[in-house]
Amino acid sequence: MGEQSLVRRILAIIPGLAMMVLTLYVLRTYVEPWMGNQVVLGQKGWLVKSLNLNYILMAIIVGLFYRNVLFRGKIPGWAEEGFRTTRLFIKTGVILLGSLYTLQSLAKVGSIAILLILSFVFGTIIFVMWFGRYIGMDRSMIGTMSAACGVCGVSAAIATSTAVKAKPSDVALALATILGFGVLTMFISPILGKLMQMSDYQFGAWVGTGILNSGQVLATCLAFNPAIAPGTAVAYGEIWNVVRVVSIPFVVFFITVWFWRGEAASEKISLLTLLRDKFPLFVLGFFGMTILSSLDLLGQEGSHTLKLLREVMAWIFGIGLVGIGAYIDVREILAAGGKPLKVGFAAGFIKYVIALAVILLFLPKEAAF
Amino acid sequence: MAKKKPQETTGKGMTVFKSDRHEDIGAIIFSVVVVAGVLIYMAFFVGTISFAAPSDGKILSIGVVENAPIKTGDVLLTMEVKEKKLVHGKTEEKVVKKEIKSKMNGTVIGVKKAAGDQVKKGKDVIMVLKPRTGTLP
Amino acid sequence: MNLLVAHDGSEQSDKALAAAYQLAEKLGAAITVLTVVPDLCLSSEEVSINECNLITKSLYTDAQAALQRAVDKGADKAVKIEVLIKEGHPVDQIIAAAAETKADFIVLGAHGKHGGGKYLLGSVSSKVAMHSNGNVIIIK
Repeated sequence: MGEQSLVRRILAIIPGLAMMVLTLYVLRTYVEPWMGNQVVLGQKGWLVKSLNLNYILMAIIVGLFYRNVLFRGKIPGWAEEGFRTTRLFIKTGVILLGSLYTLQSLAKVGSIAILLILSFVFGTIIFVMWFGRYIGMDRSMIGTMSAACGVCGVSAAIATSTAVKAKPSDVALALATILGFGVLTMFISPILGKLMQMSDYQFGAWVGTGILNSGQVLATCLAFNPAIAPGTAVAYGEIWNVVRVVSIPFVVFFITVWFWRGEAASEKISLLTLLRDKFPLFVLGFFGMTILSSLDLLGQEGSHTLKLLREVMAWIFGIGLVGIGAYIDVREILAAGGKPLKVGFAAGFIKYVIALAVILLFLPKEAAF
Repeated sequence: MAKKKPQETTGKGMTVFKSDRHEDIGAIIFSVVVVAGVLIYMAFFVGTISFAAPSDGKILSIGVVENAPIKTGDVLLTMEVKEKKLVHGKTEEKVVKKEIKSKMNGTVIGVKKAAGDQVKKGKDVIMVLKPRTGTLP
Repeated sequence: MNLLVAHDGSEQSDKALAAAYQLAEKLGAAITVLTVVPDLCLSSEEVSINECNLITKSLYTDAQAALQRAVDKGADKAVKIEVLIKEGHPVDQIIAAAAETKADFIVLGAHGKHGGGKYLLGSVSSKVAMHSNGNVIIIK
């Protein structure tokens, strides 16, 4: 592929991007208020309150609709690059979320998060290694699946698969499995959370423990509570998410070392190289925002400046969420099968339930901030 | 006789970002631009701000008059609100008097509500304020 | 006359290929062996461009090797064989490839290596049979 000029590249993203922005605009300005005014089952705004159909879920659903119904499974060439900007919006949104914390609050909540996440991530990895061996999966695949299920990240799975020389078609299956499970829980979790009357803190902690990837954590926290402010689901969920994402290079390292220990040849794996290549840089932006917020440079809590900033954040997330929906290919997910599917679902489901139990039993409703 | 047709994959060319790292940096720059934009707009370009009710409740008294200057910490109004507190796992409702303080420096352009009015959170505009240029409202 | 044989590496598709060789010999037809590789680049917003290219390249290499093995098995037969790799959804790509190669028949196994989705969606072979404009031979 040749290099394209900057102008041509920017022009290429406009159609898809315009589609996402326009969709969000229509949803926020017309559809959501309209739904809030509909009287269903005798209650005004029932659609929004009880079914959680705020602009968050609707953005995802519309995205899903675009991909699977309108475009029949494949995003057309003219829209492809525009939809690819989803990643940029999600990353920017996450960075901006750093403004919800101060260094102190981050430290307080962060320490619990680190403890919980590390235990869940490595607990899952060990489970998958055992279960995979039990049902006779080959070692490369076990390595890849444990990364996939443990950190619940596509990038973790791909990074590990190259290190343990897994078969690419099997990796594709592993991906479809995690994605499938993630999509399912993304929609179910807010309903479950409300049913069990979880607080924002508990909900954010639960979904952040590694059942969903970054975009999905965002989406489901915002679906549970669309408010963007300290103490909301998205504020807690994001801390958990950041810890999880930062653990990826360590997870890849751990699994690679495990894999090659059982093999004759050994690959020279250096943690430093892994960190250098796989460390999510945008997390530094996240911490930068927290520092700005700690220095009170972003306006005081309750100020109009912060209100405007969070409104902008909601828009940025919204656009990204349409993209997330559009990235979900239902047919591809359903086509997965075989051992990876069994392992993936078993690990995912067990983790989902155990995390729920641990959170409900040990985490208080209110957190330190 | 078998004939082979060698095939190349279509490597997808990156449009805007060449790699994941570039994308991360792009995201950081985007956020900085957004934050700077918001801060600059709020400090220098925003005209008047409609101050809507921060919660549902009844206005007890308005603490400012039109055209008067205000600074951070000044009491704008007092309201009667119903507060929900989680006491021993049960939600209790209490009626409290809350002082709503100003978070910015500026001038009061207009007062839209009076003592005794019932207001709804986010919907009813209580007063219109003009922030002092160069400060963040 | 052209035959398009869909191959996904499963035993059943090997059977389909063997049957296709027999048919091709008798009919004097040429064979195109097709493997469809999943398109992962837009499967998740988490997949970056580098990762997507990495995976796609290894999927192609894998598919190429698998196809080569399958083709070599029939190498002693006097049949003209070509190899094709396409990316995307199996059903769509098989039908598209049939049109491209102007295949008179699509030959595929009754079921392949796809697991769970089979029960929810119906196998690839039945969907191809449903949607194809041309004739489809399903090998059991």
